[in-house]
Amino acid sequence: MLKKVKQSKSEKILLIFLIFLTIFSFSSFYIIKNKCLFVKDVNLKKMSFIQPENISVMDVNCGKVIIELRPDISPNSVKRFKTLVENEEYDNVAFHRVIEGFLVQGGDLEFGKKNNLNYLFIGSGKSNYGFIKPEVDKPFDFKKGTVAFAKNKKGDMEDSEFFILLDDAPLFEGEYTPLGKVTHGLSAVEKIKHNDDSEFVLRPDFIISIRMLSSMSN
Amino acid sequence: MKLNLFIILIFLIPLKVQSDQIYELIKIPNLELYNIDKKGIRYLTAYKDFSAGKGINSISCEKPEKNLLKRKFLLTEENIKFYQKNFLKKINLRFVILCKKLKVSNIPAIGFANPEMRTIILDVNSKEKIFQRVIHHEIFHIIHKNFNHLFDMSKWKTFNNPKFKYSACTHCEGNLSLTPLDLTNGFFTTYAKTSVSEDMAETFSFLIFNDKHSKIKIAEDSIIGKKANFIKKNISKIYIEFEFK
Repeated sequence: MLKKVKQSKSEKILLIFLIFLTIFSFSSFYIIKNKCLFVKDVNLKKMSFIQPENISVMDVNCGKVIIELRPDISPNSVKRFKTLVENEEYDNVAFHRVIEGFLVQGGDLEFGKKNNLNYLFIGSGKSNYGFIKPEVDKPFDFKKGTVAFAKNKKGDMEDSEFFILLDDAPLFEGEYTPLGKVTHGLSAVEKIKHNDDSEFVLRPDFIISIRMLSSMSN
Repeated sequence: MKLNLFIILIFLIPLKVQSDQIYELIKIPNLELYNIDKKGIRYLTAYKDFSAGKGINSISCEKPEKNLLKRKFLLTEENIKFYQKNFLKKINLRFVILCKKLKVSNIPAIGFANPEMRTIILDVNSKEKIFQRVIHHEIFHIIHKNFNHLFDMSKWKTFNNPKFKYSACTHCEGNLSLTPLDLTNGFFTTYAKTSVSEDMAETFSFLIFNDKHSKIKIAEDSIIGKKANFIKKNISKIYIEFEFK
């Protein structure tokens, strides 16, 4: 006959600890897997803008990002950016260069498209719209959230590539053309995939779309 | 195919992530902002020893001591004050790096100009008089690169004695002396005899520095006189309001 063994107090504590550990492990796994879990959702319907014609809405994996464009600072560059947005050129284009905590760069229309991603040449592609001259003379505060055009390799012209700052960079004033600032949804930008060892990203995240607010409400 | 690309990429992109705004602009690591002057020149210094570039343009430099840095910064600022803001903008000079024990392709140097990055690098360890002149020497290299068409090298060579040939070795021992020569024979220093570009830069630096020695040599040495006029004439084409001392 088997003798019934009663659990000791320490065994009961151990069992409870194991149950908690299992729950914690599963929930952690879920949290880690879902990188967008704590990203605050941007609700466009609850927002109002003073100049809606200068608002663009970028859709990325973790939500919407609202960019307020500044044609008063950089008229030609903002015009170019709007043209590219209106022609839906940025849809499915990679964020190919990401430096954690500093900047996120994308917009290579030639080598960065999802269906035509070219890892060897990404970052050196051109659009079909030609180069434009940087507009760097007006003062602009390059704070976290600034959106600006990147320069070509030679460093004297711009095309379609842009970056979003994840940290203040006051020395960029007078160096890059500011396009505007992210007013909402910067946390979604901070979740864009990066590599620890390289500023170029293998299997990068993509811009789902960028639209002008005015075209979305129509 | 995709696997091949990944393998290629692993070898082709060994770029270490540098998350700082200065590196983003001039591709030199371990620098921090020291000061920005009224003319928009950004003075940078090394917070840690650094090395950058490859081959003949590889540079390395060390973190300078605070007192030495302060002294040489004030001296640099004083010398750069000579140039008008619009002139500096036109020649595209933006950054001045102050560091210690500068080496260019592993050879000790007092200064180095990188026109592409709109930067000059200065060794704060050097003697004050030479240091000041080197500021202007390096500034000329920036000017020369950006306005190459104005400084015709073959025209410059005609100023020299027909038998003279530049040594074409700016890194050879014995050619590096920046001490002003007493017997000039068309050249302010031994270093000026290495190449047309260095000769032009040396002449420009003496013209800006314009001490008693320079004035005498410009007046007495007809070759130096011609070279000085050539520099003055072409600098005024870049910026008409430019005034030599």
